[in-house]
Amino acid sequence: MNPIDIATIGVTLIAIVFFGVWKTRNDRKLDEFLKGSSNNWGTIGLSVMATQASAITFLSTPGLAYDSGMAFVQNYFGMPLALILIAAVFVPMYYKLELCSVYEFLEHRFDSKTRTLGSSIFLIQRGFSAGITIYAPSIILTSVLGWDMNTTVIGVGLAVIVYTVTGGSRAVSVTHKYQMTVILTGMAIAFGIVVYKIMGHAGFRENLSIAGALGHLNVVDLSFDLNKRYTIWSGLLGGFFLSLSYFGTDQSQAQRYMSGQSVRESRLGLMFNALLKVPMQFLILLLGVLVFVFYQWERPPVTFLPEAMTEIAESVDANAYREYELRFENRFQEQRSAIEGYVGALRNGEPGEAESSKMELQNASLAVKEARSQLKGHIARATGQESMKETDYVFIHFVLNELPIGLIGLLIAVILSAAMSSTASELSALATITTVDFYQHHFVKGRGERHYMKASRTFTAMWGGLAILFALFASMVESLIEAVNIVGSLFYGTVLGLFLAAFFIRRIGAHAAFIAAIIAQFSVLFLYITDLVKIGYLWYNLIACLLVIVISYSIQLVIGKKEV
Amino acid sequence: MEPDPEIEIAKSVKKESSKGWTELYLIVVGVLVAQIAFFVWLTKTFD
Repeated sequence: MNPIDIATIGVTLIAIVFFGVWKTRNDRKLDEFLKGSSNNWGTIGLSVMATQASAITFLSTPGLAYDSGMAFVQNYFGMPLALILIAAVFVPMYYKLELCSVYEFLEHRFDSKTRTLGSSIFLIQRGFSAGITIYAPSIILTSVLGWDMNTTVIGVGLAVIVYTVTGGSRAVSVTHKYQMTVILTGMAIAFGIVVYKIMGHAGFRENLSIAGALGHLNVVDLSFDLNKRYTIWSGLLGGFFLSLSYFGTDQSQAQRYMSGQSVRESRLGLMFNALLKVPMQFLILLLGVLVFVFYQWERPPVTFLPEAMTEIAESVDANAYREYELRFENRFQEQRSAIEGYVGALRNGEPGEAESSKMELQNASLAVKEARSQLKGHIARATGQESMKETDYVFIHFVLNELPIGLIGLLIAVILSAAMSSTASELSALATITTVDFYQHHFVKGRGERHYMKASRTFTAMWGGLAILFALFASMVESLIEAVNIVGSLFYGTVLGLFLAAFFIRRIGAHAAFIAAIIAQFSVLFLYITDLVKIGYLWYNLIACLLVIVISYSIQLVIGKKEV
Repeated sequence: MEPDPEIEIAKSVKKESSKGWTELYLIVVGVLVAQIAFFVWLTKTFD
């Protein structure tokens, strides 16, 4: 890697850590450390956005669009609606009760054991996610850049631990602003470069037509098919419940918007996200589609998988490898001619000609796909790593090969900043819940502010250490971005069910809610593990939530009157 | 009789929720609908 790129990465990351430590050097209050409580709506908005946008968002999402198009954006359709409900109902209630942990609300409404259950579910699923948040970008960066995996994981993890241990939640908020600036600048530049490159071959609309002809501009799917992962209905309904649970009941997000000066600032911060998140996700996916179009004009590598893997495959059976490579090369050249024919037909404006050229292009594309998948199969067999998905490597390959020196460093800084921003929120939230809901609530009561501050710092470092350990020993699970969403869908629904019952169904009492939550959680895990019902993972969230409400209401009917 | 603190909180929350925020929420819903309409157009035009 060029020294200018290394310097760009180093300066960006050191500046973020230094800024976080320096800005919070005089903070001594426990409340500031656990909540942070003086942010305006702009800081809250960016902090909420930075927490959700992990490195996986910038590595895997463009690759997902490269592979299968834009349909993933539908997952975010329910999010603005969920944020409205949270801003209108959840936020003022949380402020009134002056909560430090959102699960305290469950004790206010139900009882201590239900609060502990909510906090425990949070610790399990967020603890797992924190490891993946560090692991995901590390494995990709190390395999393509040749960095040492352990050094990368420990380096990213320690950088985050330094400023979250010293500055707590407030350090997380102030660093988020600058991390988002780096992220948005880097992504805008990458977008500009890919547009510039494809415009050298054809007009923007013609390039979009190529993407459309090859099935990559399928943004909205109106069909009612429960087996499909992304439809407008699963996005609106499943996405609504997933967002409601993530933003409304997950401490790592609630802590971000509860760090505001007032209810007004928190609500505006959430509405900032409600307006901008869908377009942002759309543009990240469109970036992936444009990279796809770029690689229809320019010959892509035979595979985007790291070079080390192709070398193994080549050494196992060089003749077979060369044969696959040659077949791919020929198919690609045929497809390139078909693209030129299609663009020519579009320019002529003859509908019949355009339609037949489009079909020719689609057939040529299928042949390229087949040649590529044969080669990938050969690599998978040779390396024994069949679960490794090529899509996670597409965007980083484009960055490393098509961006100029300096910007490569900036884009890698984007990925590392994103990893740090979401990990920081997670560690801060995990430490807050461990301190407030377990240490202070159950084990060591009535001690001074300094004692709990010290405990919070220790727990932050402890969770950071656990995340690093998890990342060091983790192995790949499907596509990275989906692994996080699947875990979220399996656990969020139960907690959301508890919160919705608490907010909206006064009849339900503590025991009924607690028993229903346990039954719902085990039922959803059972359904997922046994694969008894074949449904997209977003639906598990909704099922668990409904199970909690229906079962708790039924139990309450049997018990007769509300008992708390 | 002592007022129920839970009901008091709910009342004040409701009061605070209605201070002109409805318009902002409607704008957010309107923007979402416009975005989906744009995506449907994009799908129909290019797919």
